Amino acid sequence: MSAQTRVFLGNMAFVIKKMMGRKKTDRASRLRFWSALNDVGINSVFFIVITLGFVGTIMMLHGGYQAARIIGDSNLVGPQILPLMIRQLGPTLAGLMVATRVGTGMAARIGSMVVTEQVDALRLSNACPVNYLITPSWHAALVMVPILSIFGITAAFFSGMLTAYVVFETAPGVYADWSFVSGLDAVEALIKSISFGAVIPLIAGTCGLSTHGGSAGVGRATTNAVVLSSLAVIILDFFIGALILGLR
Amino acid sequence: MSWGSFVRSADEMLTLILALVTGALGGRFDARETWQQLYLVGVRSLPIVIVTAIFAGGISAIQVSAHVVRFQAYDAVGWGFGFVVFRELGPLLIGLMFSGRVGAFNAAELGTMKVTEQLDALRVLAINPLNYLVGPRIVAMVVMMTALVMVGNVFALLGGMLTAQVLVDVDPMVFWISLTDYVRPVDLFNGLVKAGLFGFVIGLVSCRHGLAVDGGAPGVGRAVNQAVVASALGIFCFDYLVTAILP
Amino acid sequence: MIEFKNVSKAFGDRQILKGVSLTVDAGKVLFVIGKSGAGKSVLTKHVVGLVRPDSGAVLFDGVDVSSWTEEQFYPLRKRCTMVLQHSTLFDSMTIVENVALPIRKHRQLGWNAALETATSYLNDVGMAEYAKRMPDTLGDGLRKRIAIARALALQPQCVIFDEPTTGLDPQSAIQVDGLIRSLADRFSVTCIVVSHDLRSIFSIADRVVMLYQGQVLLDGPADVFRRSEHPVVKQFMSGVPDGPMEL
Ligand SMILES: Nc1ncnc2c1ncn2[C@@H]1O[C@H](COP(=O)(O)OP(=O)(O)OP(=O)(O)O)[C@@H](O)[C@H]1O
Ligand SMILES: [Mg+2]
Repeated sequence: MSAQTRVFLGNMAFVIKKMMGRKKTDRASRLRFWSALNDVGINSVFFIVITLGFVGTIMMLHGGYQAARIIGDSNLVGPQILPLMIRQLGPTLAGLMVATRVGTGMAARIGSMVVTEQVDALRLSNACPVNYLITPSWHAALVMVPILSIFGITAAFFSGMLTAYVVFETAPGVYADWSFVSGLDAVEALIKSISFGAVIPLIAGTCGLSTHGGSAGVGRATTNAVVLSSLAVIILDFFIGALILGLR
Repeated sequence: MSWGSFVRSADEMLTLILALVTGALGGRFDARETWQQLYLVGVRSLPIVIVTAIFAGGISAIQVSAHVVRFQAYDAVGWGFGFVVFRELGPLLIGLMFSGRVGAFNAAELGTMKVTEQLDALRVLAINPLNYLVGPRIVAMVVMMTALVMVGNVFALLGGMLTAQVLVDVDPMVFWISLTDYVRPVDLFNGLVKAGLFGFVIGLVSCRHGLAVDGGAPGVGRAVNQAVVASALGIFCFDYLVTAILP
Repeated sequence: MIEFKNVSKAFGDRQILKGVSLTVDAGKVLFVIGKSGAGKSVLTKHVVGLVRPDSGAVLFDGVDVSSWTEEQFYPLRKRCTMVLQHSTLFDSMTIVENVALPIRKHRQLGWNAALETATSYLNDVGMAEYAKRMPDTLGDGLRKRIAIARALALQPQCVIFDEPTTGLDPQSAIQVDGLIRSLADRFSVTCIVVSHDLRSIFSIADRVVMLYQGQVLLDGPADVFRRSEHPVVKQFMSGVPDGPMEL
């Protein structure tokens, strides 16, 4: 294990300990939480709606062309892709987009503060950098990633519906057939998005705190943040999916 | 993003593309640097692409299986899997990871060179940064992204077969036959076209944001952030276009 | 021959140069002096097109280059290059590779031949023993000398040195001074030197120009400065903090 990996893991343990620790809530900490909610949630909504909107269209096109080729009828596609949108593509792509936007943003901001010694200034004034810089985003992500997933799923649903209607002449009523969607799909979506919300700020924040060495260091930290948190999303997706598949 | 800044950045992007096309047509891209970038981009991203591909294969097998279990259509697992992975999820997830690993790295590297005046140092040595740095990087990303998706397909297939066997007890042979029966070469080709385009988008966007860095270390962090966000938008946009144009 | 005609330059609402006119004689050593922030770097960067004037003209051998495109500047930069103030080396390359890069790009030499030639340039500045080191492992004084070697590797007819001896120990500074003087004397290279170093000024300058408040305050041989009765010049030469000079 390289020295850097050791530092990274040490920092991560420190961050987890601090995030779990009891802390007092005052006006300032509530303000930080609201601003993190704004950053994680409001500022990502547009991005996620656009990307997941593309995904809904892409899925409908794929499904429609394949169904037309193999069974000669693309009316059955809607009900087939809805569960997939809900339990997998919605939460996972929303998670990846949060990792991309929020993860890099956090690492860039915290990393810049580390190299310009603002984090040391925080420490000197006896303020815990984790509580200041990471915990608010962590709480915000726990709340917002599930909500963003719902926004993403909705965007994918409607763009798929539009595509079905325009390209394959499938009536919206035929497309929006929920009979294959089960409660388990919703549970899977919820578990996934909450876990993504939990790990992304943890990883990105740790990458930010582990920054060293000027502007090149900030670049490295930001790159690590997006790679590691995206990878975490994909790996979690696999294991949670496997777990739920076992329950079917 | 306001309308004015959108027009400005679109204009900048067009200028950059135009300069690069001129450089490429004139054969002015630095050959040595291109080989070096091909190597570096490959080395940098191969491990992460392999891991991503294995899990992408696993995820696809799980999601396809969830359908298949309901309809008891075990011989369709390979088909559904192959289609989803080769055409869509493989290039998409590998593209997003590639953007994080290579694109972000690239934006950071060029941004650092910009703030430490290394780009000016190239210019005063009469070396055009567009032909020396940017062109070779974009070429390397297009080529390597395509190659990596080919490699990724193999690993995704392994991950998918293994997952299908362990979780839903689908025999690898059954999996393979249903895959080869239904998945056409055009599906694989389609995925590779996407891969190349994603590589181009990631290269262009990350270089543009790197070159535009202003304001020291915080500027570099911001540029990486903007580069990966813009690349993701570009990836989904091209994904849609390819899917719509090449059915 | 290089000529500035009434050059003005502002960044935002800060007017840095307010109509600077100045002729640089070919094959001579011209010093540009002035306090920090006087605009010495900005003025000299105009010659190689890193900065473009808001108004006025920069003539190079009688041709006005101030409205040239970036593309047009590349051939000129082979003949007239600049050693930037922060002696920016390329971080990702070893010292010898830094020097070899312009040789490979502009002298039709293969990489190995370029490396060999680069070593001889490093020898000229006494840096051959550091050939295999990475730039970030060296201090400012050493980096400065490597940047000088890299610029000379272009075999230019004109070199701008932005503070070549700042941060060097006295022995190395004298060595660099000797190098600049011999460039002018033996190869008739035009040298523009930005400096605060009074010792350099009096030992190697053919002519000195002092910038003050965006304009040329005094222009002539070094002796003129020693004898000048102008209060600002006197204060600059004596280096005392109080005086009429605006800080
Ligand atoms: N690209 C730029 N954008 C904005 N301001 C600039 C830029 N380049 C230079 N300046 C400003 O112009 C002024 C003159 O800068 P310049 O670097 O020419 O000073 P100088 O005489 O070389 O001083 P020093 O001895 O510190 O190098 C400075 O105040 C600097 O902040
Ligand atoms: Mg200067």
